[in-house]
Amino acid sequence: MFGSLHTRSHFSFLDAGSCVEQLVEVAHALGHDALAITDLHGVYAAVRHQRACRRVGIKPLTGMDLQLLMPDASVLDLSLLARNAEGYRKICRLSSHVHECGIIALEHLQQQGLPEALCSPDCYVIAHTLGATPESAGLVLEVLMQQSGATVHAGIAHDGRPWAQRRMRSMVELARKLQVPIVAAQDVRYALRDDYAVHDLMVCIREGITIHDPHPLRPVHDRHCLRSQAELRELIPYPEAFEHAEHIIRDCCFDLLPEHITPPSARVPEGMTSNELLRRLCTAMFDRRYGTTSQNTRQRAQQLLEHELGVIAELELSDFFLVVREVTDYSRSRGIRCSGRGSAANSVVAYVLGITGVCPVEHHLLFERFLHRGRKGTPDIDVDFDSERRGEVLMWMEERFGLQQTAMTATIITYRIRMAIRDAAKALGWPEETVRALSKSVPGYTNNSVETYRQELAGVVGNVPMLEILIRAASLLLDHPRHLGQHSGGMVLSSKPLDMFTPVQRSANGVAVVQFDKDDVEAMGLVKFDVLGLRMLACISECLELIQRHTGTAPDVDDLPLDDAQTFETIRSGRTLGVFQIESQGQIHLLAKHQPERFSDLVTEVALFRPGPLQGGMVHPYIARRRGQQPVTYPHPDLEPILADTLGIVLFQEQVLEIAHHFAGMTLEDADDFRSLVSKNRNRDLMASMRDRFVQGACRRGVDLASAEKVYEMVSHFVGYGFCRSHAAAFAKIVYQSAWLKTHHTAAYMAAFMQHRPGMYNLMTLEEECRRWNVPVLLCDVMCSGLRYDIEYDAAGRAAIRKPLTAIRSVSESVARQIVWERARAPFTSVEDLVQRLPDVPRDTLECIAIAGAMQALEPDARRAAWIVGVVRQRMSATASAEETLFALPALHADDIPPLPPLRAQERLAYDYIMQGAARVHPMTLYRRSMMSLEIRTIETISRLSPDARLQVTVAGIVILRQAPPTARGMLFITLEDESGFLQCAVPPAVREIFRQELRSSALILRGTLHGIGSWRSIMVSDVRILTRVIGGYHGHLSYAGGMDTLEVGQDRMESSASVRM
Amino acid sequence: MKFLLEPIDVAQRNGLPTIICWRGGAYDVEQVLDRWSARGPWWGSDEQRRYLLLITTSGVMEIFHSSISGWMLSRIFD
Repeated sequence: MFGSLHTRSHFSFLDAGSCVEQLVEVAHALGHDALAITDLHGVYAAVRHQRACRRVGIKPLTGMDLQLLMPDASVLDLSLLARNAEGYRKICRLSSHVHECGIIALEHLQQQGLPEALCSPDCYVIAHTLGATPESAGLVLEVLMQQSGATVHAGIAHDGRPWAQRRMRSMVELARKLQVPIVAAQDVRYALRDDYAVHDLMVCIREGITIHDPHPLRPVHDRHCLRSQAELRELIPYPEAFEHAEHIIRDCCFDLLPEHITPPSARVPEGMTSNELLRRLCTAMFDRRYGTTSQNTRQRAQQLLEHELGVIAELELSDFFLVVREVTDYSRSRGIRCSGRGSAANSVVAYVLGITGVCPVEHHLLFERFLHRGRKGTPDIDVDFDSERRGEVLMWMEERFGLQQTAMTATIITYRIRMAIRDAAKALGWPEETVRALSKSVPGYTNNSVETYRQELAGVVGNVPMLEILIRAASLLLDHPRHLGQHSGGMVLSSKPLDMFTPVQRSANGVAVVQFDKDDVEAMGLVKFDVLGLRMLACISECLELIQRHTGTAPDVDDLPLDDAQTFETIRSGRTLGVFQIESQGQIHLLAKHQPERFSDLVTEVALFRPGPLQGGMVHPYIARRRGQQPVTYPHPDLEPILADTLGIVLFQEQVLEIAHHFAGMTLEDADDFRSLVSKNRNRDLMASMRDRFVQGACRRGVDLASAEKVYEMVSHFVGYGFCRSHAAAFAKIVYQSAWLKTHHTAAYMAAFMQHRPGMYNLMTLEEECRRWNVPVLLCDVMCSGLRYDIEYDAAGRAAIRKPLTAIRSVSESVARQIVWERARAPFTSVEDLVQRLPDVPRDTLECIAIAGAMQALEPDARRAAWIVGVVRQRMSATASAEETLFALPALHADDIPPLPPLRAQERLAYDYIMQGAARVHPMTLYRRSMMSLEIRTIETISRLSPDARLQVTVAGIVILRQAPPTARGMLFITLEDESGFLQCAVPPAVREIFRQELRSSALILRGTLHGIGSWRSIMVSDVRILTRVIGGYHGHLSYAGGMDTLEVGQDRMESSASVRM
Repeated sequence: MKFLLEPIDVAQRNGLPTIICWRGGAYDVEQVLDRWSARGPWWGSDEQRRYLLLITTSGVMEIFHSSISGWMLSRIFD
């Protein structure tokens, strides 16, 4: 047997140029019988490696490369190969140790002894001494031989550099002298010779050098590729090196891909199985969910529950369900809001246990989309938690299940186009500014090749020869891993210590992360539980707390009647800024057309606005049918029961599954595979074979060929990212709850919303939205603001939002706490008093608080307040240095403050924006008079115009959103905001091309044709002007300059704002 | 050791150099010490270079051959 024993894959992160699958395929093609992957300090590729080897039928050897720091500061590589599962476990521990403590020094080994992986009979150790001096090589081999013995080998390789044969000979002599067996272990960094380019580029990126800089670690030739046995035997003329390699290959035997699952262990009482406990809990809790439902629903739920419990027991997943229930129960017991989402909401068991909140019977959810007997791996149960308190849940889980049994799933961060352009351009030696401009000229996420963006890149650097090299270099990098990241919420829970499966390393923020992504974790039989943070849940929790605190009672939003007319009016009228999932301009547009009337419409609304239905062209037919503009038809009568509630259109993943099952006669397991394949649409060959199976299956059921093909075409359009009905239903519930709270408790909801900012709009727009809903936003005030957004009531009982001290840019939570604690001792009597009582707060911060207007209760003039702060603080320092007490020298004299002009309106707004990210009145207010002269209307006026006349209108405002979704085929959507509202403006590709520069501006005047439906309006833009070039004195945003236009308008508005405050 | 990068003429027998002609002089090759190959920059010519380390009557020379540049003297060792 023969195989490469020292091969690094691209999971060595910028140290090797080929993926595991390619290495395995090339090794197989070269006639190798085995392949060892020894990535640097990790086993990241182990699962993919074993899978790929199984596919082609060669033996996988799992291992890791370890770098050893020598006394002369050079680095020597050791390869460790697992002989068995115990060896793998020891390698995992060593990898964890290296990531925890850093590179291991030989001196340390001499003093402390070898780690178990280096001195265990369960691992082979190959020392690659070729690049070391004879002294270093001798020292390493001696240390290893003393403590590990038989499993140590000296790796012999031909490095392709001058004197290679001579160095190899001297190393062989050294090994023989020390009686260390030699083994052929060529250093492989990529599969094919041409891959050396990507390897070289990666080394340059890793070392932070350009391709023109020499570096000892850069490859000088292309011979670090896989080679045939014959070729290597010619280069390495030592037959025993190959015999030893064969022995190692035969001896190593380890399988990382078990056929069973290792679930976490639930708390099960003595004498009871987890299956029995799950059944008992479900039975006990069934009435809580179905006690008041109709007899039919109850019966159906009972049947489903029995079926599900059977499947769960058969798949040995009872422990998993019990553990998830334990976590959600704990969360609720601590008042941490949580909500199950995703396909788990298809399960009656999950609903009964309280993991999810949507009834599968009422919403026709299909359990098989979540779990079925043929399912490989574990099902996903995703639970959203209050984002602010998710950390508490994670900490409790670590404590409950043990630190050794819990860690977060990793994500492999691979090169996308923007990062590839950035790193490649840097390596080519372009200056930082050019690098930034180049990377900005391409989209962040796209499946297009780099070549597609040649024109955009040439727009930055011109058509220079280096552009070709840049395009080539960036293309080489695409899809290779760059670094290891942390999954947003996937926590691995195991009943056995995790080091049996994976090393654990710490992320930048100190979280324990395994070395595998979610797919690999699942392949290893480990169970992942998605503990996701959702800011909207934090917002809802905070809103309910505010209501409770100010009114004494809080509504039970989990048990709201789902037919509130006012809530649906809010939704239908598109006043949904701040409402979960339906606040974007696209969603508001869709709401205007869709006009949801009941909860099931919200489920559809959430599912409609996804790439799957959008790209599949399903949205417009659905809307047309709903509005009665198109008849509801079905491609075949058999589809009517499946598609009736979506008017004959495929919108949900479950419908694809049901069509495959009922129409094409597939088993539910096969139908789920079909659904998964169609959604991803990645493998053409598999799709072709599925098409045949689908059509033939339908024909066997008596469907004619033409209809079968037509239905297949319809279903196959459901590609890309689409929702399953259960996920949409779970989200729709949060949509309804947030819309209900916004409608009935606007001030509390918007206060909580601004606290957590779960949406897409900036603070300025949110404050404008509050004003549109007649909820005043009160300024920060040192006399009454706290650390969080709060609500206050005036004498008439009208609620207003009080901004917290932390809304001021330079006020940290620590400073705000000092102010609140000091204020609690006794109210501040003057600015002087405040400054004296807060000696630890920096002067700059106090000045910011003053200029932001937060000392208005103590000194109405902000400029004067800031001046007082300066004087008092200066006097305090002088007093301290003179060792006199404050009582001896007054902090402030009457003549310390000269006559100061009050802040002008534009100064006030500019300071508001700089200090708090939002102005107390909209900046466009100041320019309204000039704009009226130019016949530029307010957005509110535009909204009243009829869209039928297709009028040409002109609007001006500040750009609050700029979106170019891939589904819009080159269209740019700009949302303009003025003091009266906001408006979506669609810029067609041709116009976008003409006004490319202008469209980058933050304040625009746009002219175009008015479109609209219901209360929703938009304009199709035909002309673009930059606002600053039309209205003199306005140099961009107020934060940059400040206007000089119709000041009195702004003054009026600000005075009215001040009166609200009083 | 001196870095050079100068074109040379090379007389060969059986694919191995026998005489090196450089700057008007002709030097016999006495022994081939080592041979290896290297690749030119991947962003440039991407040529494959075949290097030879030779003992000649003028000292040790490192030469290479590529399809683009032909025979070149890369280094001489004192």
